[in-house]
Amino acid sequence: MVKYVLLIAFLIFSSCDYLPQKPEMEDGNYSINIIAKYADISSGDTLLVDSASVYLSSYDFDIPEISGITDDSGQVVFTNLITTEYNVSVKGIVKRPFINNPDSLINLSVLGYGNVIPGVSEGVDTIYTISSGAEPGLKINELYTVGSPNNFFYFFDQYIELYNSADETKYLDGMIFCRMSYGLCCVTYIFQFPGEPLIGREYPVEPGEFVILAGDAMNHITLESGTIKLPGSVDLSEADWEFKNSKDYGDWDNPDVPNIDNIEVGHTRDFLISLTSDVVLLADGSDLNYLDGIDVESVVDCVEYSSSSTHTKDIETSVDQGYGGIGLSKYSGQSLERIEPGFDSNNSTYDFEIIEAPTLWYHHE
Amino acid sequence: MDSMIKISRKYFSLLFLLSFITLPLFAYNSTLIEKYEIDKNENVQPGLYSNIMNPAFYSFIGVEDNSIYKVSYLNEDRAFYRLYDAKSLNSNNISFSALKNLDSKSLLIASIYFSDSYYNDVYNSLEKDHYNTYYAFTDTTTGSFHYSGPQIAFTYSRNMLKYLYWGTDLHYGIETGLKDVYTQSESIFTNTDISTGFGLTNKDKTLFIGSFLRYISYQGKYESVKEYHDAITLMYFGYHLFGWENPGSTVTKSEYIDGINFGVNFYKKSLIFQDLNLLFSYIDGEQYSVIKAGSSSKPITRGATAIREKSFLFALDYSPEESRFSHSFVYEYSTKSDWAKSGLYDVLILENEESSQTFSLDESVKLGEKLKLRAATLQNVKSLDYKEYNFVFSNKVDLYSQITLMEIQYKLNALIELKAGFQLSSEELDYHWNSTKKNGLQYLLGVERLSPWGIIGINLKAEKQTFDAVSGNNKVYFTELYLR
Repeated sequence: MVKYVLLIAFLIFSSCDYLPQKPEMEDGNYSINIIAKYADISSGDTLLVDSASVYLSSYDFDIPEISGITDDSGQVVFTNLITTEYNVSVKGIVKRPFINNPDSLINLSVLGYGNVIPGVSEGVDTIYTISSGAEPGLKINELYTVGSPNNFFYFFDQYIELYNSADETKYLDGMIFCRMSYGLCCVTYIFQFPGEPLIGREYPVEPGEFVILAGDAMNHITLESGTIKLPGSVDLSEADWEFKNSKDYGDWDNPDVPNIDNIEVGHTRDFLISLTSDVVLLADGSDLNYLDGIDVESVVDCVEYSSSSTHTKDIETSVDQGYGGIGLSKYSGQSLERIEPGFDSNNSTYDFEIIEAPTLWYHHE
Repeated sequence: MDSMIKISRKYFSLLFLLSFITLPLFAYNSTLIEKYEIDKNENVQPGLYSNIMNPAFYSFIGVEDNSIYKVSYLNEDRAFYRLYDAKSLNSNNISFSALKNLDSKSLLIASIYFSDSYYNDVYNSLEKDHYNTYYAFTDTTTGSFHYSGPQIAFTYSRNMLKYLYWGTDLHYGIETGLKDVYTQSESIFTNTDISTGFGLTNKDKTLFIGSFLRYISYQGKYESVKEYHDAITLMYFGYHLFGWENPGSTVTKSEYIDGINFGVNFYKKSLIFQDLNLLFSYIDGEQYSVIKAGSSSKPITRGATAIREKSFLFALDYSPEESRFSHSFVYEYSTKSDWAKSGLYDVLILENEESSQTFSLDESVKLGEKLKLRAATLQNVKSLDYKEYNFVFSNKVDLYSQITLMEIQYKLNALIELKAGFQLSSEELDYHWNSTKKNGLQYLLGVERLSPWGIIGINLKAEKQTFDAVSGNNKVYFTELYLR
């Protein structure tokens, strides 16, 4: 009897392994298969984009960007990858008939973005590209919000850069610039350009022009007559516009710089936005009733940004499908700028990238 | 006699059945728990208790009431070290341990230990032992750490029935750490360790067959905070690949470990002839840990690790009281198999296989009433096979190490005893080092004096470590004052 008890006990013990199951697949064997396509809205054709540069990058690991070139079938395969989510960007050229002369072809630059997630994306991932400069017009091109390196919490050198990506002059007359929270319904700050909305012609922005909107239009590199220096900051003394709340009597006002003034009753603070997470919006000024939010039809451009990859989306996806700025660090001197001047796919996750220093009146290389 | 055998068999099989039936088996591997020391008969091999790890064994072996108070100081000054090691280390420790026989059948051991350590000039790493984890948390600054905390331990061991022993062991420790510069990471570690064991003996108490089960739970939490700008930290996945954590006001890392050991022991006194003692010990265990990092409100699972360890030990000791000579021999074979997986996807990021064989021999001879000489040696061969899949790295190597000790004990008079000795060591190093071998020369000096309060003793150790193909050497100084 004892023999059998011991035998059974031995068999139970020797067969037991209570550790969680060891994964069968080893890392480093992940493959991604990308097809780049371009959907021409005017003709309804869907084209394969060959010889396009495809780049893979990861937020999770510090690994170099991986690149490949699509073949004649618009396809590129990446193998032996670390298993993680990849951001995919595609840059290529498609030949399309010129609109005024269908017999001649022009080279159209196209860009595309997407995400490939292991276990979610199966087989081939298709990236649809769009031509750059889609939805041309006035764009929020750059946001400098985090402040320069300093140890006294100085971030008053914030500015926003606009860019006109259209082929025609646009006008800032009567436009509004807002800080939003939780959606189009909720306006935190609302400041307005002078002039008549929609019909004013006093404040033009030419095609390809950059316009700087400064929080305080002063030289932030040298403060208090030179006693404090912030070499990583910016000189905004020649900004094109300055946010100035006429009800904030202590707010800096550069007399040589025209003002964008507050129109919210009872608001007495300057236009300051969060260093690493906020929503800013440019609207045409046709809807000035901020109490019930901003009409989506009046929105010219909207950008949401956050430094955290786990940020909960605020603004409606109809005005911005994502949010840019993941990885922004406070008081680092970093800035957030579109990948190309005025490039707008209505998704700030892909439209914007972090640059190491602000670029006033020009676009980074 | 037949009935005795039947009873023994009954308890034996019951013991084995209980041991096997239970439960998930995990290995124990903690840097927190320090094994408390019991003042033992000098002829009993010091490592015996820790090798057995069965609390029932204490009431079987029988130890007289004793207590020991100890204060010690350790200083290490390193000219050469691994990238994420401290440049120097200072540690102050104070402990108290007491063993009390409650009656003829049971005993209680209580210990308290307090440690206060400084790890100076650590490059980037926020870990207390960077090379003991596959998911190391680091930042971008070099700083010094202050660790301190108490540990308590209780052991109760009892002769339950004529042939049955039972014991239980409880350890609890807590330790906090703080970095002196940005990101000023704060850490807190807690460790709970509970074991219970049984043992059976024979009529003349020369045999002990035992089994024990031990559960450990460990939690470690690190919190890095901003200074003027966001805390910037990194997490390593293995020893090569890392990822930047999202900068934030607070970035945290948490590690949760659960593990269980199971072991069986066989101890026989006077095996073939008087005073020849034999020990077999087999210990098996598994351990699983989960690592999370990121914001304190929404941490993300970064990975998980599992370790399976087995150890087989064979020891022979021959130390008759009336003899001038004392001999002991130990052989240990152990294996360790561990792996780590990705936190988000079911893939293996690395695995490691180790095996180790250790031989040790300890010889003592008394020359007259006053002089005793001791010589001991330990030889170890460790085989490592480490593979990372997320970085394409592998390292397969056999490493050899040895320690040789020579010691003299001299009774100056009825009150005072002196001790002096030296120790030579060499150790082949793994790929984390920029050298292939470390050599050590340690000197030891000790004095004990009988006093009205007990035996007061002081030990001083000084060691110099040199490394192949590297200039400069490391110095280690250890001072210990005790009363027992």
